[in-house]
Amino acid sequence: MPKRTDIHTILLIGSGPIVIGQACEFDYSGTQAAKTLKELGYRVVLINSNPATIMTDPEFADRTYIEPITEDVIAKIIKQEKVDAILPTMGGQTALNVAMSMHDKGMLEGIEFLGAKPDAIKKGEDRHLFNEAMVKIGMDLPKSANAYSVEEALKVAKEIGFPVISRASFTLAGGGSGVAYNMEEFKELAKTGIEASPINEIEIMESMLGWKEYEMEVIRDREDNCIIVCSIENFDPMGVHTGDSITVAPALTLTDKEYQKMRDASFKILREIGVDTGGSNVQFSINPDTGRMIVIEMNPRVSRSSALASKATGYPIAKVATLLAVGYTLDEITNDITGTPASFEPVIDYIVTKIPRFTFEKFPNANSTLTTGMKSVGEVMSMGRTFKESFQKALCSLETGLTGFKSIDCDADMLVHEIRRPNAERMLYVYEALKRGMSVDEVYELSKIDKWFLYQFEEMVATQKSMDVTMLTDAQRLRIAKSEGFSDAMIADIINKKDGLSLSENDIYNAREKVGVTLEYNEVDTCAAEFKALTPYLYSTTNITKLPKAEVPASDDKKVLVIGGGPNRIGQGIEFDYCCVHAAFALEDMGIKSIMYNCNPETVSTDYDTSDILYFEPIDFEHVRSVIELEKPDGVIVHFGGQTPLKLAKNLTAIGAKISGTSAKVIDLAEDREQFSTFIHELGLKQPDNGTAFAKDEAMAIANRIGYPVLVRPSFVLGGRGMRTVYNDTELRTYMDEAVSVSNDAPVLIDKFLDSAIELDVDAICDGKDVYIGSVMQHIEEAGIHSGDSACSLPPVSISEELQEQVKEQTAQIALGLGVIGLLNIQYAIHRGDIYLIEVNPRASRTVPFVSKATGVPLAKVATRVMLQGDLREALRYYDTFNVVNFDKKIMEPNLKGHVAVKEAVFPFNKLPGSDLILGPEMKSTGEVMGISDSFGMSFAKSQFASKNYIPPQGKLFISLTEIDKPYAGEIGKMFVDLGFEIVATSGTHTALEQAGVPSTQVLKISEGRPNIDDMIKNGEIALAINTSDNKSSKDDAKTIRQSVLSNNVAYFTTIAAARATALAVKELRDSGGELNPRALQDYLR
Amino acid sequence: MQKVSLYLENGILLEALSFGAEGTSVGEIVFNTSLTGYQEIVSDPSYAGQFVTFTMPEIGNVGCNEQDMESKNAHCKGIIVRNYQTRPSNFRSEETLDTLLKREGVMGITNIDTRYITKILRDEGSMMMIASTEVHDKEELRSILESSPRIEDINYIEQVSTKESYIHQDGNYDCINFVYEKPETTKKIIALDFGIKRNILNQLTGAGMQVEVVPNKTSAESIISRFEAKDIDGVFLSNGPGDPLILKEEHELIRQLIAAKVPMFGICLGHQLLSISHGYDTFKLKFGHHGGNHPVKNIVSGAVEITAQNHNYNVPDNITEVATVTHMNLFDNTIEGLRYNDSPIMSVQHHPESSPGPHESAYIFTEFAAML
Repeated sequence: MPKRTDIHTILLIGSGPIVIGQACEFDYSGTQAAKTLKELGYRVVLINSNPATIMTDPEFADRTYIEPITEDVIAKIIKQEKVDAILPTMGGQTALNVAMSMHDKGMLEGIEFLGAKPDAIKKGEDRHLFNEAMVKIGMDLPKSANAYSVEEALKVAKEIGFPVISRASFTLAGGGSGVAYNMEEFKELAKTGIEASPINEIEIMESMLGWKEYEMEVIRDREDNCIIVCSIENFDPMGVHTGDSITVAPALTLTDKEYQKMRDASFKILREIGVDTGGSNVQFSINPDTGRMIVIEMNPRVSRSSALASKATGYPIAKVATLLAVGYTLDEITNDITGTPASFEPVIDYIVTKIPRFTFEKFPNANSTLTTGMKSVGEVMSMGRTFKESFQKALCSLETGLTGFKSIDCDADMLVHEIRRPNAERMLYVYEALKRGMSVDEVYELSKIDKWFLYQFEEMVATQKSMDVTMLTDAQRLRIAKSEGFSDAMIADIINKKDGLSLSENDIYNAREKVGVTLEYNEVDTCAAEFKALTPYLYSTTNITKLPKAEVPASDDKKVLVIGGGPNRIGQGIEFDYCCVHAAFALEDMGIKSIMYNCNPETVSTDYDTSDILYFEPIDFEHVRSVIELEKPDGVIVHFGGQTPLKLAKNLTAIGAKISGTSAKVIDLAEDREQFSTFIHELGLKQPDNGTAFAKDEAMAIANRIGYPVLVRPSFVLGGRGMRTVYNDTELRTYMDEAVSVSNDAPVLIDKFLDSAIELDVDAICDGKDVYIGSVMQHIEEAGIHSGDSACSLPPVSISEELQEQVKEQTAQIALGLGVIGLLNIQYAIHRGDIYLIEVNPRASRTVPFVSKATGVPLAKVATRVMLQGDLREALRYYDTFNVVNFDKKIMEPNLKGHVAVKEAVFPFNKLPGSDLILGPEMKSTGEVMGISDSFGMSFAKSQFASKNYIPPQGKLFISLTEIDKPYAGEIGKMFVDLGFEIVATSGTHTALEQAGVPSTQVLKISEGRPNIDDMIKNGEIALAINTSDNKSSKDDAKTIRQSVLSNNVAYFTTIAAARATALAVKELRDSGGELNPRALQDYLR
Repeated sequence: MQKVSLYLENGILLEALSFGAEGTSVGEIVFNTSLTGYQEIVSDPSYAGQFVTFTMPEIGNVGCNEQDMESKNAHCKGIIVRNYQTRPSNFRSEETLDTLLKREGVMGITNIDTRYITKILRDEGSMMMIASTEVHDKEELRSILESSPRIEDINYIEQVSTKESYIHQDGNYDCINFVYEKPETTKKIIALDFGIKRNILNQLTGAGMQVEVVPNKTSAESIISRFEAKDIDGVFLSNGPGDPLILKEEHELIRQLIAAKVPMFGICLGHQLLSISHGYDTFKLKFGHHGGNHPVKNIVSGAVEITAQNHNYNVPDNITEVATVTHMNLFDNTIEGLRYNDSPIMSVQHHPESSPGPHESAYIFTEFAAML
C-alpha cells in the first residue's frame, strides 16, 4: 500500500540534549525521519530542545520548535499546528516517555500514534506486562519480581538468591540500576532504584552474570513482514549495560540453529508486543554452557543499537521505519545502496566492532566499574575483514591515545583484579595477561568473555611476539600483521621495544610502501558484494591476498575531504558533527564532491547520504593519509571536527595535503602560547598575564610572578581537560605532578585567573579581507567555569554597546592579523571594564550550531564556502535566507530580530554515582539545550525547563553560599523575597541575610542534627536551591545536599550569576502564569 | 598451514593456505552469503561438485556437531574462506571443521580475499576452478582444469543418492532442549533422494508424514503401484546437485508419476525436474542464489519470506502455461514456487527446510501434507 493520505501534519519528537544513554543517534534517526516525511509531502512539525542537532535546522521541518520537551509545551504545539499524528519512536526514551505520559493523561485524544501504538509501547516498556506477554508466548525469562519499598525488595531478593539485578522502572540507560552480591549492597541499590524510578518501582531479577549477551535489530511492517537487520554480540558478558559493552556484528559464536531460534523469538516477541511497524531492538542472554536462552528486554522504538546496526550494515533503519509508519510495506521500499527491495536481510562480509568511550577522568570520584547502568558518553565503530583487524582499528578510533593494545604496567594481582572487574580498559588487561602467558581458560574464568574472542586475542599476541625489524623487508609478514589490524605506530612501538630501535610510524609506512602492502578499501553494501553498490561507503582493510593495484578511475570532479570529530566525549560532541555535516551540505551547494571521514556510528555525518563518499575509519594519521593519497582531494577541512582533526593539520600539510581555509601554520600560531602572546602584544590587545612551563619549578616561578590565583592546564586540549584554578604553591605542586603525567611532556599553560569577570564568546568568519561576527554571547556564569559548562545569552544581557563594539573590533583585528580563512572562535573576559583575551581557536567552536539557530545564518556553511571560494560577502549573501546580515557595517554582523536565545549545559551527574555537581574550569557537561523567547528571563526559564531544572514560580528557597559569595546574600535574598519566596538558610548564610535585612528561617546542616536541610529536601519542602558552597568550605555536607537536591529533582543553581538569572526567569514565569509559550524557530527568524 | 593454489577458469591464479583435505580438486566455484551454518552447507549434498566461497569472513567459530550435519557426509569439493578459525567456541561443538573436512576429503582454503572472488563471480558468473596443494604452476593447473569434466558433464546424483531405502525417524529439531522431536505421522510418502537434506526429512516428518527415502534409481512402476494400492499418499522430489537437464532417467520417471496423477512436492532440484518433465527446460543463472537472505513473495498471501537459497538453475517464465506461480524472488523476479494447474503438484525453488537459514517458509511442508 502506498503512503497514507488521511494524515497531513505529523509531530516528530526529538530526544533533547545529549546525555548519557541518549546521544546523537537520535539526531541521526530524527533527521532521517524528518527528511523522509517531508519528501513524502507531509507537513512536519518538530520539537527538540537541542540546538546542536541537524534535525532542528529550519529547512528540515516545516515548523521547528526548539522548546522544552514537556507535556504542556507539546500540547500547545499540537493545538496551534493542528497536528494529526505523532511519531514518538525516533526520539529515544525521552520522546516515548513524554508521549506515553500525555497519552495516559488523555492529552492526546484524536492524535494517532505512528510506528508503535500506546498499548504496544506499554507492553514493551512495563516489566509486568512484558513478562506476562513473554510467558504467554513461551519465552524463557529470568526469575523476577517487582518491589515498591525497600522492605518488599529485601524479601524478593532473598527468594531469588544472590547475585541479583535491580532495575528501576521507566529510567533512561539503566539509571538507578545495578547488580548486588549481598544484602547490604542490595539495600542501598534498592533504595536508589526506587528513588530514581518515576513510579517508585524496581524489578529484582535472577542474575545472568557471565552469560552471553546478544541483540537483534528487527523491523516489522503492517503486513507482518519481519526482517532482522543485524545481529549483535556483546564481547562483555552479561552484567555490563549493552551501551557500555564492546559489541561486535554479526553474532560470531552461534550455530545456525541457535541463531535462528533467536531470530524466531525476536519476531514472535514483536508480534506479541504488537509493534505495528518500524524498528525495534530485542536483547537476549544465552547460558554459555547449556544454551538456555532468555529474553532480557525489547525497545519498541529506534535505539542506539539501531544506529549502530544501520551504520554497520548500510541499511537505513530509521528511514525505513518512517516509511513503514506512514503506510508502506517493506517490499514497496527500495534499498538505496543496491537498488533492490528493502524487504531482505542485510549480510556483511566484514566484522564490526563498537567500543564505548568513557570519561571517568573528568569525574574522579565516580565509580568506574561498569554495571547495568550506562556510563559511557560516546562510542566508536570500526570495520575490518576479520575480528582482529576490526578490533584493533576500533582501538585506534577511540582517541584515548591508543594505537592498538598498549602494554599495561601493573602487577599480577592488579591484572587479575582488572580482568575480573568490568571497566573501560578491561580489553587491554586481558591482552596483557595473555601476553604474560596467562591461559585462555584462566582469563575466561575471570572475565567470562567468550573464549572465541580470547583465542583471537591470543593469536594477536602471537603475531606481536613474532614481530621484529626483519619483517620490514618481508612483504608477507607485514601483510599478515597489517591484516590483523596492527597500526604502523603499534608495529613501530613493538619493534622498537624488541630491537632497541627508535622507528617512527612513518618508517613502517615507508617499509610497507616499498613492498606494496597498502590499505585497500571495501564497500559497505548490505549484501556482501552479491550486488553492485551504488553508494560509496567505504572502510579500509589490508588484504590478505596480494592483488594488482586497483585502478582509480580518473575524474575531473573537484572533491573535498571533511574530517569529523570521532567519538562523542565531553568537550567534543554533536556540535562538531553538526559543523561537518554542514560542510558536506555546503560543498554540495558549490557542486563539489564531499568526502566524509569519521568513526562515530551515532552521527548524521556517517549517514551514507550526507556526503558523496563516506569513509568509516579511525581518525589518525595513518588512516587519514591513506585516504588522502587515494582520493587526492582538492581540499581538506580539518577545522570542523574539533581538536581531533585539527591536530592532524601539520602532518597532513607535510605530506602535501591541501588544507582548505586557515592554514596549519596559523593553527599552530594560535596554539603556540609564546608566538601568540607576541602577536597579541603587537596588536596592542590585553591577555591575562601568563606563561608556559615545561617543569614544576618553572611553573612555580611563573605563578609567583603573575600572582595567585592562576588557571593551569595542559596545552592542546579540548573541553578544559586537566584545567584547574590554583590558589597557592602547594596546590600548584600537586597539580604539576598530575598534569605532566597526563599530557606526556607537553607544556602546562598558566594564566592569571580573573575573578568575577564576565566571559564573552565570539564566533566569527573571515576571508582575509572582511569579517563577519556570527554573534557575541555573554556567559551567565562568571569566568573560571568552563565555557562549555556555562549558560550563555545571545545577545549579551549586561554588556554595553560600546564594549561589544570593541570586542567586535578586536575580533576582526585578530582574524585578519592571524590570517584566518573560515571560522574563528574567541573567548574574552571583561574584568573591571577591560577586555582580556582568554582563548583564540581558529576553528569551528561548540557554539556554532547554537549561533546558527539563534541568528538564522548557518555559520559552518558560510565558512565552508569562504574556505573554498574566498569571498565572505558572496557566501553570506548565498546563505542569508532570513535577511539577517548587515552588509553595511565594515565588520559585518547579524541584525538580531528582538529575540533572545539562551544556551544551557546539561550534566551527567545523575548517571555517574559518586560524582559531584560542582562546576569548574574542566568541562563536565555532555550536552546543551536552547531556550528562545522575546526576553532573557523567559529564554532562561525555557532553557532550564529543557534541561529538566524546573524553576518553580513560588515556594521555599534554600540558600547556602560560600564565604566569597556571602556579600551577595542580601541582593539575591531580596530578589526572591520580593518575588514571594520564603527563604531557608544554614547558619552562615542565615546570618548574612539577617545582616542585609532579608528575612529567612534557619535550618540545620546535616552535621548539626535533625531535622535538617536534607530532611526538608526529601520531604519535598524545598522548591528551589541556590548552593554555591564548594568542597573547600563545607566538604561532605555540601556534596550530600547537592546529591539530595539532584535525586529529589529540586531546581538548583550553583552560582550567584545563575541565581540572578533565575530571579528574572521567575518574574517572567509569574507574568505568564507559569506558561511556556512555544513558538516556531521559523517565526523568530522571519 | 600448507600453501594452496587456486586457478579460476577466467585465468586468475591465487595463493592461499590449506586446511581440511590436501590434494588437487576440480569443481565449480560459487559463493554463499549465509552468516551462519557453514557446517550445514558443507554437508548439503546439493553442493556436490562445487567449491563454496563463504562471504562470511570468520568460519569455523562454532566447530561442528552431529546434529548440524545435513547428510552423513560432506559432498562439496572444497570451501574457500577469508579466515578459518582453528579453535571453536560453542557448547555444542564436538570437533573442528578442519577435522570434519579432512575425514571427508574436502579441501579447505583460507587466508584469501573472498570478497574479490565474490565480485568476480558476480560480474563474470559461476565458473570452473581447480585447487591444489601439490601443483602451483599456472600452466599446469590450467591444463588439468581444461582436461577435467565440467559440472554439467557429471551426474552427481549417482554419488549422493542413497543406495538403500530407509524410513526416516526424526522430526523437527527442538532448539530449546536440543533434541529431535518424534512426532506422530498420519500420512505416508516416498522421498526420491537426489541428495536430500536431513532437515527436509525432519520437516516432512514433523508435518505428519512418514517418509520412506528411496534411491533415485527407483522405478516409476513400483511407486505408482504403491500409490494406487494406497500404500503411499504422495511423493517428494528432493534437492540435489548439478545440472537438472542431464538427468534424463529422472525426467522420464517423473513424467510417469505426473501421468499417474501422483501428488508431488519438489524442492530445488525436485522443483526444476518437475518443470523439465512438464516440457519446460531450466536455464542457468549467472551466479545463482546461495544464501539465507533472499526475499520471496508468497503471491497467494502477499507475505514476504526471507528464504534460504541454493541453486544455479531456474525454471523458465513460460512455465506459467501449465502452472501458477505461488512464490516470486523479489531480488530478480525469478520464479520461486509453483502449483501445477491440472495435477496435485507443488514445488518451490528455495529451501523451506532452511538449515541453514530462516524458518518462515516451513509452512510449505504443512501445505504439502494438506494436499495429500
